[in-house]
Amino acid sequence: MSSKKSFHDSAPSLFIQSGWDKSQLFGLNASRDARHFVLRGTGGCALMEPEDSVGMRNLELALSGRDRAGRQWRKRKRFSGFCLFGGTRMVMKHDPKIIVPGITEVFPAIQRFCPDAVTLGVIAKVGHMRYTEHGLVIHDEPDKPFVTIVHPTQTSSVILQPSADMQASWDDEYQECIRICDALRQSQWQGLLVAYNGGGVTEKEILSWAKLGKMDPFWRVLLVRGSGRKPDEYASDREWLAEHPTVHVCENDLDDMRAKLSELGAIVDPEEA
Amino acid sequence: MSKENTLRPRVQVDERGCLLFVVSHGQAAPAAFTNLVTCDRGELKAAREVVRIAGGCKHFSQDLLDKLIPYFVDAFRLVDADGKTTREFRGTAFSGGTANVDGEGGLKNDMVTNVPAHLAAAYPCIAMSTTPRTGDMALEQKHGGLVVDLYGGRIDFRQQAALVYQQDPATVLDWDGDLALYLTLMEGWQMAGFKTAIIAMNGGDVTRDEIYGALKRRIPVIAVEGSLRETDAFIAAFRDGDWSKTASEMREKLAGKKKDTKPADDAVAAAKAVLEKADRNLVSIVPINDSKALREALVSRGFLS
Repeated sequence: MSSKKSFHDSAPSLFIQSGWDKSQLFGLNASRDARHFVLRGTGGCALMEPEDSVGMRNLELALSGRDRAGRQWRKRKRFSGFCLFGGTRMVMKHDPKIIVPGITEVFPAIQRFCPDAVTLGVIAKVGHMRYTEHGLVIHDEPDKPFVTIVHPTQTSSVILQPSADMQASWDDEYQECIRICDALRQSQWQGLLVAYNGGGVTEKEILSWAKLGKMDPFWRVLLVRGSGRKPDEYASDREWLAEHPTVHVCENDLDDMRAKLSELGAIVDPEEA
Repeated sequence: MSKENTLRPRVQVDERGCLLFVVSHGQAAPAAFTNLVTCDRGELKAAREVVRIAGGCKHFSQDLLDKLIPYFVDAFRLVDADGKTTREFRGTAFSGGTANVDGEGGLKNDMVTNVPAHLAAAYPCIAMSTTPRTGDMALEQKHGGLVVDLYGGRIDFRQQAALVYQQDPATVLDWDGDLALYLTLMEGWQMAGFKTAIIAMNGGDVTRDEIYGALKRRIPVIAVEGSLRETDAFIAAFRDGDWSKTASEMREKLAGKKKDTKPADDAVAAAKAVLEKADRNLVSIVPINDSKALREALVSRGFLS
């Protein structure tokens, strides 16, 4: 049999979960050779203001051990472990080469700088899927100038649907991520939710993790203050923060982000990875 | 208490004993089970290797039965010219997980499913299993062991983890009921970068399905020649194109009951279809009782690295 590599050999695997069915093969990504740390990244996508999206680069640089010029320092701490994110990309309808900035661009962007990172997309099928030469479209709103496709850069992803013809809700993504993280928590992994910008759905996820954090320190949250919308709201609520001791705050600044991610164990020395 | 009941794994995962999981059809095996393949073996890092030991021991002579465990234990280590161990198995040995008992309630070692427990006692590796629930389970009255079939078969509690797989709490499965689950696990670990293989020895219809099911999923098969039944039948088919022994037990049983033997023909046809498309490099054939040959086959597949 030929050992010549083909275009699809390094393509991400894609699984579909219908109803209560769980993909064993997607779950077995947790057996990959990476540190037992799960980073759940969530936040703003289509509704993020342009001025807020600029700061996402701080998160990308902090996670990948790069400086402001984008250069990676070999001995600088960087992310290693498993990253759970929304697994999608938004592209403009009139020109699919134009990518709309969103939190889901951060984690694929760090992949080439973080060889010890496994990026896993959890994607709610919120529209009927269509396959195009520009990717698998999972959401399209006629009044919006962009469509949402499955992100081409990730290790593996799973699409969630209630059934073949029914559509999921945006909530399904974070709820499935909590379920996955809970299973990993039981295997003594470390975990962290990072929230950058984001609205109602992100808020529900922040509140869920924060509430769970009162029962188990696995459920830690890092809110990026200055990223906009719900993380800013909760990062400024001192009373709420005092009631939820596993919630941490960092500024939307590369150095502060890096310090906090290091303190929380998300970024480590390359040898430690 | 029988000496065999005191066999303990070198790597302790849970101080209470063998972890037990019950999973119904449609549920995924929990991460607490599947991630055991990655847990460090004390201070030693886990080897990313999973081997499934499949088959049986029917019609084995007492001599072969007595040599069964030492054969496997010896194969799962590297040795120098003087026979001294230079590397112990640090991966995961996976099997059907059941054990027979003797009159005193002690576990016997007369099945290939007992091999992982012995490997786990000898080496810093993990022994785990999947078992189909083929009858209502019971807790044995004197010793409390978990009885998982109607013949008194127990879960081999000398492993670190066992998973019982059922259709649902009210419905049992057939003897091949866990096949799709465990082959999916093997495939998934392989996708996650593990070296995987199935060692097939002896065995009937289920073992035949395991061999061809593995090849279909591109999981290597190490077939032990001289172990009789479906493993030898596979070797004859693979090496010599001789399909006469494949499904022969099924055929004889059906003929003996004066039933249509078409299911046996179908089984042969299905096996042929798989072998036609299979990568022949996935198959190793080793002679029985030659632990050196089995060791070499394992090493050639990336084990004991």
